[in-house]
Amino acid sequence: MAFGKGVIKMKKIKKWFWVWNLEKEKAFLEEKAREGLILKSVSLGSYTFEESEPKALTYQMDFKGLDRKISEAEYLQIYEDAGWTLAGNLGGWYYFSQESRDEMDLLIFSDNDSKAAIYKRILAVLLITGFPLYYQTIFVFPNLSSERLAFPSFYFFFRIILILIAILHISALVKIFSMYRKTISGIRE
Amino acid sequence: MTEVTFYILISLVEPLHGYGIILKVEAMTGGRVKLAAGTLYGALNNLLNNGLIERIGVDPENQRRIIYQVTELGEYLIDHEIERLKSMVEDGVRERRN
Repeated sequence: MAFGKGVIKMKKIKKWFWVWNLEKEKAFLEEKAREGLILKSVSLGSYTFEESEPKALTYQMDFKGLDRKISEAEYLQIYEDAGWTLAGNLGGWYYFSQESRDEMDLLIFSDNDSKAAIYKRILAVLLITGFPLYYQTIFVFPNLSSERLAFPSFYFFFRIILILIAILHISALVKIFSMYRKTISGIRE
Repeated sequence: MTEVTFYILISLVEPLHGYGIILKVEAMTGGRVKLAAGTLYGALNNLLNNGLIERIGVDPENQRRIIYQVTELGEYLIDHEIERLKSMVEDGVRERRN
C-alpha cells in the first residue's frame, strides 16, 4: 500500500498504562503530539496515533467510575463544552485533549477534593473486582486437592497466575490509596 | 460544604445545564472560581446522589445537555450555609478589630 499525499497515516505504539503513573502517561502523550503524533484511539496495551503537524496539546485522563447517575453522553458533553476533545476511552478511562492556551482551562480538576474523587472511584472498582479474586486465592485454592482434578498441571499454572494477579492488585490498591491520601491532604486553594 | 459545591448550588436557583453552571459561576465570582469539567462532573454526581439538585429537562438545542435545578432540600441547605458563612465572617471581623 502506497501512502500518497493526503492519505492519513496511522501509527500504533505498544505501551502499558499503570494508573499510578497518570502524570507520566500525560507527559508521554504530549511529547508524541509535539512530534506530530496525535492520539486517535486507546486499546489494551497500545495507543493508535495519527501522523500530523506537530501540535502543542494538553492531555487529561479521567476515570468516570461505576456511578450511572450521569450518563456517558452527558458526561462527554460537559467535557466537550469545556473545550475538551475525546481522544479515546478504555475500561472507564477517558482520554481528553485540547490545544494548550489559558492555564486554567487545561485542568480537569479545579480543587483537591474533586481530584481525589477520581482515586476514590478507582478504589471502588478495585475493591469490587478484588473480592472474587481474593476469595478464590484465600478460600478456594487451599481446599482444592490436586488428585481430584482432571488437569492438575493446568490448575497449578492457573493458581500461579491468579496469585500474581492478586499481588499486582494489592500493590495497585496500596498505591492508589496513598495517592488518594496525598491528594486530600494537599493544601486547599 | 466546599466552595465549589456552594457555588454550583447557588447557581442552580435558576435552571441551567452543566456548561451554563461553569459560565455563571465564573461571572458571579469575577473569574475567581473557574470550574473544571471533572470537578463539575464529580460535584453534580454528589449533589444528585444527595437529592440537593434534580434534573428538570434537556436543552432543546442539544438533547445531551441536561438541565438541573436546586431541590427544596438544596434551598434549605443554601440558607443554612449562608447563615454559617455570615457568622464566620462576623466572628472574623470582630476578633480582628479587638
